[in-house]
Amino acid sequence: MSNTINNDNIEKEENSTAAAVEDADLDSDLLDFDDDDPLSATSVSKKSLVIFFLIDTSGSMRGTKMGELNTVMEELIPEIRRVGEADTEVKLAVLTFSTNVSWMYSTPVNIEEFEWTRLRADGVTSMGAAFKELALRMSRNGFLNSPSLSFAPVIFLMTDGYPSDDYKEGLKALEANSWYKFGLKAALGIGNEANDDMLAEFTGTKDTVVHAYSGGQLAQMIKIVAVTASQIGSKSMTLSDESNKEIDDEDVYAAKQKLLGQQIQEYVNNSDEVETVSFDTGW
Amino acid sequence: MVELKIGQEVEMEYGGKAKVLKVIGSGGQGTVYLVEFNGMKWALKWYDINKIKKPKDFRNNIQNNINDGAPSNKFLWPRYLTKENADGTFGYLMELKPASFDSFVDILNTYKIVVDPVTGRATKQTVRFTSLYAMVTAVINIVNAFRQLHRAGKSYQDLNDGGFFINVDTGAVLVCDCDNIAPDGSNFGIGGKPGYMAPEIVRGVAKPNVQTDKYSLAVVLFKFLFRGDPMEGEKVVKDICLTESSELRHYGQNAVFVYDPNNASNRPVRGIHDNVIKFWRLYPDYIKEAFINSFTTGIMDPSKRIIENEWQKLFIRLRSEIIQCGCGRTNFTSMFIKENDKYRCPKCGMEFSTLGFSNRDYRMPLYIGCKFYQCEIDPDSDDFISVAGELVENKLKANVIGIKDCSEKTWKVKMPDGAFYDIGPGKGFPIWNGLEIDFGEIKAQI
Repeated sequence: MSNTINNDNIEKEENSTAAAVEDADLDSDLLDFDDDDPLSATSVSKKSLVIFFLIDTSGSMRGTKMGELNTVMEELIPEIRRVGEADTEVKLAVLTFSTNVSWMYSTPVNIEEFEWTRLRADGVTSMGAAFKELALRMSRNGFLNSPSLSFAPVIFLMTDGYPSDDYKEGLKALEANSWYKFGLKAALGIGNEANDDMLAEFTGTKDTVVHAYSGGQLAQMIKIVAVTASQIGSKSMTLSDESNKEIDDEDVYAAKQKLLGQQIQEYVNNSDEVETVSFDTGW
Repeated sequence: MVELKIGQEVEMEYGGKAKVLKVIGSGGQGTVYLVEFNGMKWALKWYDINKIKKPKDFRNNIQNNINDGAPSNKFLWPRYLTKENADGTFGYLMELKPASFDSFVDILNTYKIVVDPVTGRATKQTVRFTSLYAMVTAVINIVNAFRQLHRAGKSYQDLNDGGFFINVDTGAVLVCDCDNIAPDGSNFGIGGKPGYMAPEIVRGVAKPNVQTDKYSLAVVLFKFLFRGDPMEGEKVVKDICLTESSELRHYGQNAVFVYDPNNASNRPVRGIHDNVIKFWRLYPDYIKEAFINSFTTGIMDPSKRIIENEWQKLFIRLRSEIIQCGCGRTNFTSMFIKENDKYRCPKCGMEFSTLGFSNRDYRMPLYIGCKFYQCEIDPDSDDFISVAGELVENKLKANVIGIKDCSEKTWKVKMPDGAFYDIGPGKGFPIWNGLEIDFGEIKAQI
């Protein structure tokens, strides 16, 4: 297993990381008055994290589902605005797919400035095309172009139906992308039509697939997954092991994805049953 | 998520109920709420019990900490436990931070987000220290808080940038999130925050203790002064994506300090780590050496890490080496030109005389408004807050500069006539070329 990301999607830019070694030239240091105020710091250097939301906006999402989703996203973003604290700059990118795929904004937007544009539902479910588009943009030349260090992205898929195009082909494109491979993947199936097995193909594990059958659950699940995923790696953690043995690469491989799975499952099992009308009734 | 609802009442261990008013924040182990209890407002930390490994032991430990009390008034210490719910969930009350304190995270970000309660609109508000004095005083306060904690035989275990509130005008510090504090040697499951954890914890071969606290403290201090990550330089940035295995390598197995004098592989990168590059050149060598020690020999050998008392001495020295020049430039003596026993401002040419103390090998620059503190004139004192002396202009005789005795003791001072006079509290004396001050055990002269 390779330690670093080094496939075609990520080009190492040799020049940009040339170390700026400081020689202690005292005299010139003393005479540089423009930039010697110990109090005038810029924000601490941060690691970058992009959270991708892949949202199904096909016709079947129309009505309560889309209404709930829009509302919960509008509410969620201000709530998690400070999630990166002083260590991480969190950006959001929203890709919607129906007959066509399109990004809410042309580049990832800092979570502090992000404003949710209410989505409308129409058309068919081109999930495979969405996967291809995501694979294309998840690169150093695309959406993951932060000059500083990045965390692997969080990718959160929400859908209420079965893809109307060849999702496997799209998935193949994604699987060739290292950002996807190291990313934290979660999926939310909405209503009875969404297929959890298919979603697990996307996430790579069943543990990070959740399901919502009602409006209340939809809001709850989106919150659980988004908050948990965005906090992994930046919040204090409990010790994973009692054995006191030296950890190696094998032990940490996909550790965050596993942790996300565990935490999501714990929340899902503990969440209160929300009594609301199911998506499939009352039409 | 077992969240509390606004308006819900939580039963307290020894009777009474705390009413939930709103959410204040959330951490890795739970959520903090504003609550009302006995007519007062408190902060309630409510645990997400799934994230606590041994809830019973964890609760007992908090109870013990409540019984022991805080090591000093610098801690927002747990005060009252709630009753346990049927599923074992519980929380504790602590005092609220005063509004005049900002979180360390906001200081690192250089702004905070303020939400207008009426419109819900969020605006950015600058957060920065209003004086260099306040900034260095805050560092001394942080170090001192951990010294007091460690002297009480406890370790903090989860030391990170989220653990402090700071007053940017005075440098006063409040340590929060005191719930993982445990007797040294005990651990109730917490590991720490990535970037702050000692390499031996990252590697899985140690649990948080007083020695790992010292590593985390050095990271906090580095972030505070240099505004960057001590282990993130060229070597780390080259990985582009910080995967689990690169994190294990760069913060555990092969952590390299960005200014390791014997290993240049991980220097700060211009354009990314500009703060670190800028500030590293401003600070005096004794500060830089302390960080080099902490992050080179101190990585593999926890016993070589700088102890709090040592940090405290270094930062008290740093504070006494601040010069506020008449031209508006405020900096450390390391950024002034040293000529014999004087400092000269390289910008405007103004000269500063210095005062030498019998117990130190460095001299304190003199300018109107400079201060020395009780701990600097009394070897038995740990008081770095009470001003003992200040350089002032005589209120009755313009242009006559002297030192005012702000302490509670009488000093013996040599005047221009060659004789020693008693100078009591509130009195002062002019500075002149042959000035000698006898504080008792410690003496000073120009």
